[in-house]
Amino acid sequence: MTDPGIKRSMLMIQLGGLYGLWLREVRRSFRDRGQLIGGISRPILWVVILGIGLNPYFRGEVFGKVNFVVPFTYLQFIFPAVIALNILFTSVQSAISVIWDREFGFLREVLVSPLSRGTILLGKVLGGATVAVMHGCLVLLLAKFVDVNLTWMKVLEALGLMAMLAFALTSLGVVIANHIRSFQGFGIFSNAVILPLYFTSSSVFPLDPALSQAQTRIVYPEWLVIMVEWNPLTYAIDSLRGALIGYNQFDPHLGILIMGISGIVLFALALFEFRRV
Amino acid sequence: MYRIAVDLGGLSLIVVLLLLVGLVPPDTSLLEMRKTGALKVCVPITYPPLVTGDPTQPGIDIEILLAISNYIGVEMLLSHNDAIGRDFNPLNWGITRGDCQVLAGGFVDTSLTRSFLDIGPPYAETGWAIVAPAPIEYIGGLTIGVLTNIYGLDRIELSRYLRSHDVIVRIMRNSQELVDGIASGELDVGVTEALLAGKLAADKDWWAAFLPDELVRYNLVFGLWKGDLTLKRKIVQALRQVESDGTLVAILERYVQLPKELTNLK
Repeated sequence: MTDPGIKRSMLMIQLGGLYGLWLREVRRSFRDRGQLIGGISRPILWVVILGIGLNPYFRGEVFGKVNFVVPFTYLQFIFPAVIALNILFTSVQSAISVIWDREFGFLREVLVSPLSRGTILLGKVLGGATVAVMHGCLVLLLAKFVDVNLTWMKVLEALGLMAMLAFALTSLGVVIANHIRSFQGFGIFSNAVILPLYFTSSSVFPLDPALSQAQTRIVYPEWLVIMVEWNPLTYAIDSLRGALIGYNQFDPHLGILIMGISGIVLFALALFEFRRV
Repeated sequence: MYRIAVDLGGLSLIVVLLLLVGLVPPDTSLLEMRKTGALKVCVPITYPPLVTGDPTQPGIDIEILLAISNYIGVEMLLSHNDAIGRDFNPLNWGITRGDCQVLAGGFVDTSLTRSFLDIGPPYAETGWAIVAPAPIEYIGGLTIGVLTNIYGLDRIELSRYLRSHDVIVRIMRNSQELVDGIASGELDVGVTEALLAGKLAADKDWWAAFLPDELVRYNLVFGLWKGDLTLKRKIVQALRQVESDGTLVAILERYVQLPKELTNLK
């Protein structure tokens, strides 16, 4: 039987290691200028340039004539999606540290430490998710600009959803990184995952919840509706919209459920593959 | 320590940069209004107490918008539209962005309103109310004049409520027709928007009461065109000022006589 004192000290070692790996990821992100520039350039490009650029096409011209079915402005509509975009990019790209650590031998050093594989992976994923949530928060700074009124409750709800999304996506990033051997390959592959995921998630155009399934398939081609409905990110963005602007296209609980399940499944998959490293 | 300070400095710089980006004007609506020197407002010809048509007491909405225009430093130009509220479909009112920047005179904050317009902050609450020469407790079997000129209140919900009480409904075209119907005894009672019901009751020394809570209450707002964010910000700022200096309360006190709260109407 193991001494309880030894058990406790083993637990402390795991927790200490988890904290160290988390802190390393967070600190490294502060020093990564490229990642920081990406974190501000995306909201500026998507909200300020694209949002304002397209705003006249979605604004009302004749009272009673619907140009844009959603009861919000276009800027308000895309705002939660841009938060998800910032989280998406940062989460997936933070997993590049797995390749980095593998290339420069840091991973080997950590793997021979008393830390379990699960702890090492959790530290990296939590670190990446924390950075991704921080990048999501950068977009929140533009809330006043897009006329979204934030309350503490709304922010807390959004932070919870952002954390769930970031955890699932960082795990996805690790799964991708486990299959890619070079930085260049990871960049190309992650973009091939990120952009299709984002554009087919009802991020830049709405599926009007007032329309029936049949009507939706008249407005949009069926293949596009299927892609949107089958994309898990659709439901994550929908939950964020619900929290921030009070607008849902789907059942708001679906987003939480899908993000929760995705987080568990992707982390388990990442852990399975990480054990083989 | 130095590294941490440098890291936090970089992050602070980004936060400041994003906050500065927020100062960039997202559209030209405020600039356009300043160029013309006028805030153009579309209103119905009359919808008491919001728009009365009386120059000495022009109505709540007119007085609030006048105060807002004064705060912004522009003139207020009214564009009267006799189709507002008359037709169920607002498209038939023929109001375009070129006609006005603000729509007033009976707009409430609902999803329907928000589908077409952006809205300003709420300044009063309203709902459906009943008006009659004397207090009543039962509406079953009565002949009711219904005036639904206000835009955005849920007419279907009202219709469902009235049908469930087995009343005879007569649709009224304007407040005068409603008053005449009740005064002549052709109608037993009237049902209309709460501020109007309160005003009619006060003028005629009648009785008015909100319909029970199962009929939702709504906030009265001004309609703005979607996408006119800079103008909206200015109007919100002006309305806050009008509220904080007591002007709004003074205007509402001059006009509003809210109906009684009623829970036991059968």
